Amino acid sequence: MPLLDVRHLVKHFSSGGGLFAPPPVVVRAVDDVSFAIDEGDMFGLVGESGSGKSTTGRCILRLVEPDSGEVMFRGEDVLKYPKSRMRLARRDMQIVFQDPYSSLNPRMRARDIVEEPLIIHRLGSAEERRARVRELFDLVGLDPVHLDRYPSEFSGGQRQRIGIARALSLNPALVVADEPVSALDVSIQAQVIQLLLELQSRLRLTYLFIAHDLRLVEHICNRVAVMYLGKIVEMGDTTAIFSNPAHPYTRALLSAIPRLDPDAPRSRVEFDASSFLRELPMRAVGASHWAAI
Amino acid sequence: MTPLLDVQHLTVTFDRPGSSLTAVNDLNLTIAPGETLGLVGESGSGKSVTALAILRLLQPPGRVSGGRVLFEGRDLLTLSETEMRAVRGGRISLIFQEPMTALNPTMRVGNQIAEALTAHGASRQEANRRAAELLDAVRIPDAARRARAYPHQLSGGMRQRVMIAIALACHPPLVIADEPTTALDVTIQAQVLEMLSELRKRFNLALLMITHDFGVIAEMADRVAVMQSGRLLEQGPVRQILRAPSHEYTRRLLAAVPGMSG
Repeated sequence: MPLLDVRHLVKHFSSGGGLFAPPPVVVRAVDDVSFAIDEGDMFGLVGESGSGKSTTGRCILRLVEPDSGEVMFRGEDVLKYPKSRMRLARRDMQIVFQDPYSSLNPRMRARDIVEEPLIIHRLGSAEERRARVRELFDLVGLDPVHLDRYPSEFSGGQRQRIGIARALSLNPALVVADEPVSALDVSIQAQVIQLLLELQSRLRLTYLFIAHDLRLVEHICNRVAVMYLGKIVEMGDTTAIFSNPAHPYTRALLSAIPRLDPDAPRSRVEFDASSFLRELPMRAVGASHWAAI
Repeated sequence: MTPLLDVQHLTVTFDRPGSSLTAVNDLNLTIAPGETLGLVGESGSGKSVTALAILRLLQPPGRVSGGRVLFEGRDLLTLSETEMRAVRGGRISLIFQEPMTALNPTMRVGNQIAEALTAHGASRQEANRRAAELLDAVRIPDAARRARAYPHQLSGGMRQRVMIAIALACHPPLVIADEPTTALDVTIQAQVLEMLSELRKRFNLALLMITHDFGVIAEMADRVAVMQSGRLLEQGPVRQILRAPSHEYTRRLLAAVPGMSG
């Protein structure tokens, strides 16, 4: 049984439609999305802006309520949970946000930011929590000397470590990492990615890694799903997708990645958006490789 | 060949009460006509400050505290403000990272392109005609209709094309592009870079391309300069820098690009 099994997830947003406004525009942000993540996977969800990848991540944690579908976590549909049960389930599913500048409360000390989830979930005595915060600081490579500092006193990479420590405070099984390094400089990115990988093997974590950076995803994820306009258009083992992309959008996306070799032949493929057929079902195009073609 | 731009010993200081910070330290750069120089570095390396210093757009407390910026035989740092205004947009123009904040939100984009031309002496009619041509040159489909759009009605990629059209309006021999594709999706980035390459050939543009992305460098640059903490670490042909960097920091930066280290 996969750890997370998302089935036919749908989330539409509508905007406009007031008294004098034109009729509402419905954006099919997440449009019948299904995928499964096995325990221990580093599952990459990639797409460009507006593809629905972040909304998908948020729907899984019910930070955004999906319109329909199922989010089976350890065999149970968390969308059916009442609020109190959902809160309990969130111990097992945590999120790391993109921007370590806006996602940490600037008025809280680092120690309080990391401790807060433990307080909310009423875990441990004050003493035990303090010890746990120090342990988490150590785990993510922060110096406990800086426990009393405020977020503004840390660099971007260190802030993201605080965000990771907070997400890990409740010992989750699944971490949704929503563009966790895209706001960071490239050398700092490498350090934070290294940390995420280390934590994965040490804590047996499963990641849903949401990203637009295909080079990064190719490098760290074992499975990948490619989203376009609310749909998963291709999914499978990373090597299969990168070496043998089947969907025309995936081909265009991969061909757009700047090559690091100035002499590499350029063979850019354009994707004609008007040729996109939303309703095509996924079909197997190889071993552990599906595409909506 | 005489370089088009010859930056010599450029030093930029930010004065603060009691102390001062050297953002750019004794920087030397040259760009030949039609050449693309990639300027790479991480945040805080001084690459954007360098661009602003060349165009004399630094805001206090930042100031150029030393060096020369030779361009077409003159030291830009010694020009009057009036002479400098003719250089900006006329001989050297600047493309910013975020087209949404760089464009005027209350003005139709066609008028913003025309304004760049009238500011440098073109008649209104001539400017409007050229604006339409430029929108075409940056491959904006349905250019006549798009010229009447406001920036918020265009996608990020389209806005960046408008920025490029404004930058090219007066046929400047040098364009400084500060992270011109960083805010764009990868497929849009590829289109914009491809278009820039084409325009560069067509107009024999020299390009100072500021970026943190070695992929963009590999696609675009003839030569590369690497900056760290306000200093130029190394400068050389793109193949040499990418394949055999001489500086440890450059090696580390390259190794941090996913897919380079294997």
